[in-house]
Amino acid sequence: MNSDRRRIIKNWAKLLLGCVSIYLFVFILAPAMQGLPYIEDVHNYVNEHDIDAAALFYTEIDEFGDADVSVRNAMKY
Amino acid sequence: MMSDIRGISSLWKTEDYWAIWLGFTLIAAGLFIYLLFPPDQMEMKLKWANSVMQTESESAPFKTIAWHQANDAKKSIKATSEPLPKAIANWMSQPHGWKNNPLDAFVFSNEQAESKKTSAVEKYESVKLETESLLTTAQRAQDAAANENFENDTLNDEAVAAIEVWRAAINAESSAKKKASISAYNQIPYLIGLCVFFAFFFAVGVYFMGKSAPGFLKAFPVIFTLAVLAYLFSSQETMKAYGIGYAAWAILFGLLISNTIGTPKWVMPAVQTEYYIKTGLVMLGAEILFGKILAIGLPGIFVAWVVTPIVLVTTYLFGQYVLKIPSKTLNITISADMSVCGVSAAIATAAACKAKKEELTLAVGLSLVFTSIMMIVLPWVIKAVAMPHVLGGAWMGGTIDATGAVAAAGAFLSDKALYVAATIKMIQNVLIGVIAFCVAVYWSAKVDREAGANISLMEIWRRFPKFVLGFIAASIIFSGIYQWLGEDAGYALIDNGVIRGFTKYFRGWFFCLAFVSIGLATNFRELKSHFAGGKPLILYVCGQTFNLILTLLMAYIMFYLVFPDITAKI
Repeated sequence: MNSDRRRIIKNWAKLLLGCVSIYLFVFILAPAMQGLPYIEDVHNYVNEHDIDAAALFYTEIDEFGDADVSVRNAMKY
Repeated sequence: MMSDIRGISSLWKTEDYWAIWLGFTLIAAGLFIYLLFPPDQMEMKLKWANSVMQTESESAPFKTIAWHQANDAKKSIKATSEPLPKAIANWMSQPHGWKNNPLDAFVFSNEQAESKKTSAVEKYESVKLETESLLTTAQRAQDAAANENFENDTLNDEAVAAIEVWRAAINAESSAKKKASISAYNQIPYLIGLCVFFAFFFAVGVYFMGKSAPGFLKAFPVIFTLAVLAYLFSSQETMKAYGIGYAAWAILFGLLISNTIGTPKWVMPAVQTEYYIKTGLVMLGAEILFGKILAIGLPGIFVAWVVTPIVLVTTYLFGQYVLKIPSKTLNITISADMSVCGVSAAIATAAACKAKKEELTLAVGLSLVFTSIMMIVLPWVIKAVAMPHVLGGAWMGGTIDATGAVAAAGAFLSDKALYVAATIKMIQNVLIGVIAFCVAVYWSAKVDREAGANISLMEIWRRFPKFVLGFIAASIIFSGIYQWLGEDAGYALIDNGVIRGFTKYFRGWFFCLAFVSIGLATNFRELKSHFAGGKPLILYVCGQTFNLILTLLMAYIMFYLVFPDITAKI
């Protein structure tokens, strides 16, 4: 019974540790790395223009639709 | 899961067919909504924009201000701008963007919206004034060139430069306008409604497949909540800039639970990875429009449709014969992920060859790491060596895995780089359909066959993942409708109607549910065993190096040696 309880506490502690790690990554480490040269320029631009750099497919990004029409029109006219 | 159910009952007892039935039900609903209610005076507006561009292209040797304005007007004709599609978008929308307070992703009060709007409107007004002044300068430069009948090269170049500066300001203005149009929202009721809808939508199939529908309904809210959490983190400003999307977060949250406190048994009935992923893939089929491969002419086809399969096959063979990767499914999933377009290609290929969930997880992880690096490094290299932006755009479009990262890197360089990079990536996206079909056929007919054994057509059919047929059929139907409507109306009604306003939302949610399920059913130890000797990493690095060299070479040959006239037009 005691070992079961210890295991449960250990598992919940691991979960908590995982959550803390995610918090540290999202709010401390990743923003700190954004201050590095060049990363800062690209990320500022992405944020400023609200580009979804994580999109999986071309249909998820407006810029792709705009590019498609512009390239087609540039070639045709 | 290899189904042993044969005969007519497989039509309602297997995930593959249910993926097709559910996917096509949604696709049919989308077609009904968007094709029957086109934007007001669409044909007339398109005709006007085309005639202006035609006239302008005949009068000047470069794209004039009026040409760009007509092009902008054409881009704004979208079925998604109509009231009904806007309401659908509200219902289907994922959590909104946020920076420090996660609650902002769900609820944004009138006061918050007004306070944010005030500063955004101020910025918009100042950017707008600047754009107007740059337009006047561009107009003056263009008039000066026109006064010389566009025969003075210096004046022409000055006009082109002034127009480019004005175009860059237009982009900044449109971003500022978007931020200034912020309004209050409360996403929570919509998310609850969506959860209920998805639960019953998938429960129908669960019931007919002989599984416990009440068990599924009870467990589904947990999966959905984790999916919402994944979307929440992917919409955080910093994570969005790094390109860490919902797929990675969904897997991570699932893994965190399953490898710490364990996935509760009562949640398992809703952990239906293949059911969600296959339904999502049928929906993805609708987004694969074959007409798009001609978007940038032959150079695009060579860069995206010739280089990519060469890299894919070479990397796979390298993995098999040089690295001797024990799992063929892991090898092909990573090869497709790296050479085609990241996570979306990995999902389609893994499902087509029935790869293990750990293998897909590994491919997604590799893609994430390399994409975050490449979207920073490639624009830096292109700038450092002063590479022409058409060439740089083609290089990035053909080599950066993730589609979103291509948009970010391309846009960061210039409009021209973005147009080329995005178009090449879009053509590569379309290749997923062909790759998934070929992999499914090859695996059914060759890989799954016992050594030396003959295999009948019937047996190949039995092993063939049937949902791939739904995936291909959706692609053929949508490509056909797109061509039938014509490129302009197709763009307004299909691309910016059924797809961007309807199917892409469902597909995104279904993939997210699938990735949560993958995480919840994956053990770290199993995952670790697939990474033995770092072979997947070596495969990725070698394949990507080959991809970088071959794509650059092909892009240079195509855009600068064989088709310089096309490059000049872009």
